[in-house]
Amino acid sequence: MLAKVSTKDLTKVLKLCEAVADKRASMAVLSMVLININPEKGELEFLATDLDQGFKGKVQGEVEGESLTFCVPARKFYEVIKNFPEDEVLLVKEDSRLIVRDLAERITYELALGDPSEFPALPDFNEEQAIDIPGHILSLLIEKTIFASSKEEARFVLSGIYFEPLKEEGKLRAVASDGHRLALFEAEILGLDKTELSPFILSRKSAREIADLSEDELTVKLAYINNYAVLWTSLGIFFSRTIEGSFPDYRAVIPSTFERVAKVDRRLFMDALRRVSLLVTEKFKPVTLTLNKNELILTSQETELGRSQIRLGCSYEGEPFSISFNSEYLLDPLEVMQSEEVDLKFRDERSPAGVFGYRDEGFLYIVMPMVI
Amino acid sequence: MVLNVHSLPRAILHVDADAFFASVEQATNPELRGKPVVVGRERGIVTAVSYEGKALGIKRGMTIAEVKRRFPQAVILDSDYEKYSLFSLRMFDILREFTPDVEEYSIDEAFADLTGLRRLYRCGYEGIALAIKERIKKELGLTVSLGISLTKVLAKIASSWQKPDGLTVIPGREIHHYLSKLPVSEVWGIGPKTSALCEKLNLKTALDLALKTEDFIKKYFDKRIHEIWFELRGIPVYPVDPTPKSSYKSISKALSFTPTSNRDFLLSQIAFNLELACFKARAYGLRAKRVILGLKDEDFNFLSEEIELPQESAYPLEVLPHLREAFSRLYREGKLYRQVVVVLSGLTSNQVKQRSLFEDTIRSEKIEKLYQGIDYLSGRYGRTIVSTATSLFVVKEKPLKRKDSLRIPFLPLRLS
Repeated sequence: MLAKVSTKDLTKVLKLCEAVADKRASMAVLSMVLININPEKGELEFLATDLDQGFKGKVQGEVEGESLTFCVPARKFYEVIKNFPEDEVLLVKEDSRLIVRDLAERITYELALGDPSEFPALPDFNEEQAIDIPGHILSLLIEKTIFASSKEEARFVLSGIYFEPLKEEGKLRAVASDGHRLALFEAEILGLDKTELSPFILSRKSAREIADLSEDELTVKLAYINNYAVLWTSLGIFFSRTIEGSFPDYRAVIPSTFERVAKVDRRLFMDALRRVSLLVTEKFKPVTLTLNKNELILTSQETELGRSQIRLGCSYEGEPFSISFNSEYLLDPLEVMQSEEVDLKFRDERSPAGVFGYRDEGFLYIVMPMVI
Repeated sequence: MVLNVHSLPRAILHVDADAFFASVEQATNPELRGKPVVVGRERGIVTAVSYEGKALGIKRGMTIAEVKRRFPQAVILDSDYEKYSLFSLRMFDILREFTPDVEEYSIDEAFADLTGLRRLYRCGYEGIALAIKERIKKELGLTVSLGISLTKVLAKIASSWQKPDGLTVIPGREIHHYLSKLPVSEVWGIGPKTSALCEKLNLKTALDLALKTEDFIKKYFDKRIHEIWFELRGIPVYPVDPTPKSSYKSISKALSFTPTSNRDFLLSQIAFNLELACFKARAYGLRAKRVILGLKDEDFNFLSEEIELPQESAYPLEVLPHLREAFSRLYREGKLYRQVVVVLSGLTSNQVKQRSLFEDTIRSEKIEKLYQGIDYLSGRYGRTIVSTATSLFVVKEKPLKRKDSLRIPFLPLRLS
């Protein structure tokens, strides 16, 4: 068997295989990528899974000989191809080895093969149930919310992104929360009202993969089938088991009104938040915001090292008011927002505050204050 | 030279402030000097007594009522931990002016490594110690008892040799002299169980223990005693750790009992340990992010599980349900268990608290208030006065009365 493929195409597919394959390798075969060579179609198919996630990708190439199936270690194969200096790579199977070399035979790798019969069968998914989404929109839905999801396993339903199709409005909504703050982003998706898509929770890890895969695609297909989130892209099919359980009633915690609104320059506010926390060494970086007429004062908590204070212009007309937050929880949303000026909205020092921007349509962020 | 070590190849200083809390009160209020001062009114028991009070017969752990009745002349004060912490920090700072290697061991005790400083101060270790004493007396108005020797265990023996206002140096050639007069039970780190074993093995004094061969020690004792044995012989094992202690990393409580498979009894032990650990955490203003539950079976196999709490807590009412679940996963029917361990870890200060979106904030605020009340009652009437019903099994058997309620050893937390 002989196959000649583009190194670039192969690298893209193997990168995903490597990301999906099980590194802990509870079963040795799960750290492998399964390769199907199909000379009739002139393509190579690559499969990897850790049983929770899986990826099936195809690469076109010049293929000679009979069809074949074999396994190679995903990480090592990826590293070999990623570092391959030539534009085209030759793959040859000889006995129990995969030979990877360039056309001039200056570089040769011989990779030992694994037993393909142990490789688990991957589930089949029907593309008909999927919705079409512009790739960059799906990527945005994830990027604008993922930072608020919980990094702790103790709250597993919060450790991912909740996707909720709002069929009547024709919008797909992504919500993430770690219990202290909540980020929401929604976008219009054509034809969403006619699909059967139901809500699901995507794990952080899978969400990252999906965002990476979709970012540069014109259109991708997304479906939720039998507790799997499935994504079709030009590279192949990615699927991931979703998080079981019900997402908390997030609507109940979003305040409908805010009494106090301060307008502040997003960049200046971010710089001030970073500067005011320089003397704080702890994990939580509490910052107290004090609003006076057209002035916002940021004060750090007093520590052994001392304290800091930064004054910032803003437009605020209400009564003087003070409230404290974890400064990271304010920086995170500002980082993904676009508006030059943002609205900081408050009710009182015990209720959630909101961050909004006129150029951030569809984005909503609320955060609980700290008690100092 | 029984132990074959010469003078002072290493000089470890142990500083022990005399009647610290009471002395601080006397130092800050001249009217109290020379009077029997008692601290601990708010807790209902004596936490510290000045030397004048000790001379009268007032002891730590007595009830305040008893002191009032028997010693009407005593001045009884509320504890002011903030003030004690400040004095403590100041004392450590003075030590640090002499040597960088200062370990803040507790609020009123410190170790310092003086090795190699004789040239710098142009005097012997005793001279340096006297200078330290002088500085502390002059600047803080406190007397301290000092001990110098080759290891931390020996330095601690030295400092308690002569109190108050004492200074004892134990050079290598005289170790045996001191150890021969010291009952083994008074060595730092030897508890009642080890003392009982020593008695069985006919080891009466610290010297009896120190003179045993290493094989003998390994055969009868664990690693901890093996280390103490080295230290007693003048070979340092415990380093002076100069990293300032700002807080606990974890708080653990373990209790052993006759091996049993009784689920209710074991759960009760778990709940009780949890309550003790949480009490300590609250006393330090800490909350835990993680809890570890451990069970030791009769064959000394140890099984444990770590639980990540959804919200930091130091309240048994919030944590116990998680331990209950962990227990049912660890527990095996028919197995006998001899010990339960509860460890609070991932401790953070409770001065700053992140509010949460989905939790029932009213409930957690109520729990917080409830425990403020419980802590007040525990201080007055002993720590088992209010407990969860789950720990009733243990609490009924062994209530901690007022007189048993321990002095909480407050660390010199850096005040911000």
